[in-house]
Amino acid sequence: MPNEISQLLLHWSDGDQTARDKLLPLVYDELRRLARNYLSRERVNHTLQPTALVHEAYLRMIEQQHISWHSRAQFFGLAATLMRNILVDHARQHNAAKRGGGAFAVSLSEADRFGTSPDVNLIALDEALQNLASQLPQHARIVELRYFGGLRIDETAKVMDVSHATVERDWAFARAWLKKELTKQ
Amino acid sequence: MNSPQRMQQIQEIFHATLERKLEERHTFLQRACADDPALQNEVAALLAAHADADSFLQTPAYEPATQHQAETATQIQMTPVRRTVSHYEILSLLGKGGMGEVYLAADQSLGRKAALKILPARYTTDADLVHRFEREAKAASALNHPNILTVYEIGRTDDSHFIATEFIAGETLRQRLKRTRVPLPEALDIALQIAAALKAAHEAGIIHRDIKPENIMLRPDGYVKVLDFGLAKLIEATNNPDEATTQTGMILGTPSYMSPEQARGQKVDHRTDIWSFGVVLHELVSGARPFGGDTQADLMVAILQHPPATLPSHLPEQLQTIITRALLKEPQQRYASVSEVIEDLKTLRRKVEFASELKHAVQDNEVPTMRQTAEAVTLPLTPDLHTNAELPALNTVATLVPAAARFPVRAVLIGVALVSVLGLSSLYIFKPRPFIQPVLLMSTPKRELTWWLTVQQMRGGKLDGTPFQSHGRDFLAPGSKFKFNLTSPQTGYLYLLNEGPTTGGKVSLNLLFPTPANNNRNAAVTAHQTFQTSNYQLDTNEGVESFWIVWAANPIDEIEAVKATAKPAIQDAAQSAAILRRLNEYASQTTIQPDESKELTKVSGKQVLAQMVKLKHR
Repeated sequence: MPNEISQLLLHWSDGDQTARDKLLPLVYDELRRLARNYLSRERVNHTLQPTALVHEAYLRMIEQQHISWHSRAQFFGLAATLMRNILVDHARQHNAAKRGGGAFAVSLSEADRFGTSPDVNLIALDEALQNLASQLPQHARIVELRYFGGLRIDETAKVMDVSHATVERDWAFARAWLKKELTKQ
Repeated sequence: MNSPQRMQQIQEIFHATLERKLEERHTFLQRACADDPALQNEVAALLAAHADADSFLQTPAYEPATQHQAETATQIQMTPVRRTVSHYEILSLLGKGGMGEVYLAADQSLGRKAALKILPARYTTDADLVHRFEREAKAASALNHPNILTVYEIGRTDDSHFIATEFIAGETLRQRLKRTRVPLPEALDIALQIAAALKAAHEAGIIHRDIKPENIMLRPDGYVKVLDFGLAKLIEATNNPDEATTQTGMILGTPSYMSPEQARGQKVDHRTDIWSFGVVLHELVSGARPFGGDTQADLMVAILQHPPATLPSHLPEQLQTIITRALLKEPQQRYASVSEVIEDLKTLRRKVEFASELKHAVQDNEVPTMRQTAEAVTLPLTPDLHTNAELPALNTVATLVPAAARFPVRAVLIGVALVSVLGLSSLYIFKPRPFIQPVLLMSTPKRELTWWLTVQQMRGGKLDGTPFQSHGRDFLAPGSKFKFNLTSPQTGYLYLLNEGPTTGGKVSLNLLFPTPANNNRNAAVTAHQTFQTSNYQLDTNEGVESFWIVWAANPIDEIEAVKATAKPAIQDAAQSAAILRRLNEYASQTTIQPDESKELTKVSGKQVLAQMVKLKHR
C-alpha cells in the first residue's frame, strides 16, 4: 500500500486531480484507524501519545525516498482537512452518545484527551469555520492546517506557499474572528 | 455577512489598531472609523475577542500541550535534504550530546519510529574499543525494564556506528526542572522510577556511570525512562587524560553528578550510580544541586571534600537523611544497594501521602466557604472622598458557614501523634474536626497566590467592549470597572487594602476585604478556590491607585483589629504607618512574577505574601 499511495501523491503533484480523489479515502481510513486506536482504552499507557496522528500516518503510508517536499506539503494539507472531518464527526458521535445514542462510546477522560481544550466546541467551531471560509477562504485554510493539521506557522506558510508574516497576520485575525463567533452563541 | 471590501477594511483597521500601544488603541480606532459606528463596533468586538483569545486554538485539536520535545521531534523536515542510515530514514534532529547526535528516524522495514544515535567517528576508530562498546551496549540492550529505554538495534554502516532505541515523546528531566519546581510527591515518584531502573541494571551487572537529568526522560503519561546505559564507559575510555580539563568538560558536560571515585579517575562500581542518583534527587526536590563552585576545580573540591548543601527546611528531614547517605564520600559508607534506597524512599512517600491526605481531609472542613454576588460599587477613589473614607454600602450577599471552634494546638499535636500510631484507618476519626492547621504537619510550606484583574471599560456610563483579563501592569482606561480574582493552592487569610492619598506624610488605608458585607469580616479563604472581589470603579481622572494584596498563613493582628468596624478604614496615621512598615517588610520577602502571555501575576514566598499593586489609569 505505501507504494500505491506514494504513486498517487506523485501523480497528484504532477497535476492529476483524479489521483487526489483516489488518495482521499486511503488516507482517511488510515487516519481514522489511528485516531480510533489512540482513543481505545488499551492505548492509554502506550508509548506514543496522540501527538502526531498525521505525522504517524505519513510515516506509515508513504514510501519516503521517492517523495519530494512538495508532495509532503500536499499530503499534510490533505491530512489536515481529513483530521477536521474525523474530529468533528467524532465530536458529533460523542454528543449523540451522551444523548443516549451510544454508537461510539468513549469515556469522558478519553474525550478530553482527544480535544484537549475543553473550551473549544468542535461542532460549533466547524460551523464557524465554514462561515469564515465563505468570506476569507485563506484564513479558514490556515486555521485548518494549524489547528486540525498541527502544523506550525512556518510549515503552514510552506504548504500554502505564502509568507511567514502573512500566516501570522491571518492566523491572529482568524482566531479573533472565530473566538467572537463562538462567544456570540 | 460582510462584503469582501468591508471585510478587507475590518482586517486593516484591526491590524493597524493592534500595532498601537494599549492606551492609544481606543482613540486610534475611533479616529479610524470616524463616521462609521458599525465598523467601529465590529472591530472593537474583534479586538476584545483577540485579547480574550489567549490560548484559543493554539494547541492543535489532538495534541496535549505539555509535549515540548514531541513537538520538535515531529516537525516536518523543511529541508529537502534527506539521509538514510541503514534502513532508517532520518526525519529530524532531536538533540546533540556527548554521545553525538540523536535523530528521530523512521524504521522503514518495521514501519515504526525510532531514536537514532549516531556515534561520532572519534569513538569508532579503535576496533578493540568498538568491540567492547558493542558488547556492553548489547548487554544493556538485553535489559528489559519499563523504566529503561529499549534498545532496538546496535549497528554500523560504512562510515558510522549507530544505536536505535525506542522513541519517547516527552521531555528530559532537565527540561522539566527548568520549567517549574517539581512538587514533592511527583519528585518522589520520579526518583523511585529512576531507582527501579538502576536496580534492574545493577542486578544484571550493568553500571550506568552517567546518571544526570539529561539522561532521564519523562513521558507525558508519567513513565520515567533512563537512557544510555553503559554508554558513558565508551566516552571515559576514549578520553585522553591530558585533555581532562578541556575536552572532557566539553564531552561530559558538567561534572556535577560525578562521584568522588569518578572524579579521581578510580575504578568505579554500582555505588557510583547511587552517588549520582543522590545528586539528582537533591536537585529534583530542591531545584538546586548539592555541590557547587565557580570553576570546575572548585566543583571537584566540593565533590571530594565538602558535605552536600542542606535541603530547604520545608522538606522532610528524612529526605535529607537519604540524600546524605547516598552522598557519602567513601563508596563503602554509602547505601550498599539501590534496593535500600528504594525502601527508604517508599517509607518517605507513604508519610508524604499520608500527610497530604490528612491535609485534604482537614481542608474539607476547615474554612468557611463563601459565595457572593456582587454589583459594581464606586469606591471613593477621588482624593477628597478619601479623607472621609465613606465606603458606599457594598451590595453584596455573602453566604457563610458558621465559624467552628478552634482546637487547642496541643490537642492537635496529640491528635496527629495518635493518628500516626494508629495508621491511616484512624484518619476518619479526625475528619469531621475543624481547624487542624496543616502547617503543623508540613513545617512552613511555601505560599503561593495567583491573581489577575477582570476589567470592563466604560464609556458614558455604558459598557464599552467586553471584559478582559489583565495582570495589572497595563494602563487602564479612566472610569473602568475592575475586580480582583485570586486563587491559591493553600488555605490562608486574604486581605485587600486600598491606600488613600498621602497628605503631609499621612496615609489612610481602606480595607476592601474582608468587610462586614464582604465575607462577613472573615479573612479565611479555602485552597484552590478562585475568589472574586466586588467590582470597583476607577474615577475618570488620570492617576494611580495603590492596592495591597496580602496572603498569610495566619491572621494578621493589626488588620484584624480594624476589620470589625462598620466602615473598615485605618485613618490613624501612626497605625497606618505601622501597618505599611509591616507590609513593606513582607513585600521585600515576596517574589512577584507577572505572566505576560497569560495575563496574570504569580506571587510566592514564605508565611506572609504582600504585594503592592499600582493601577495606573489615563
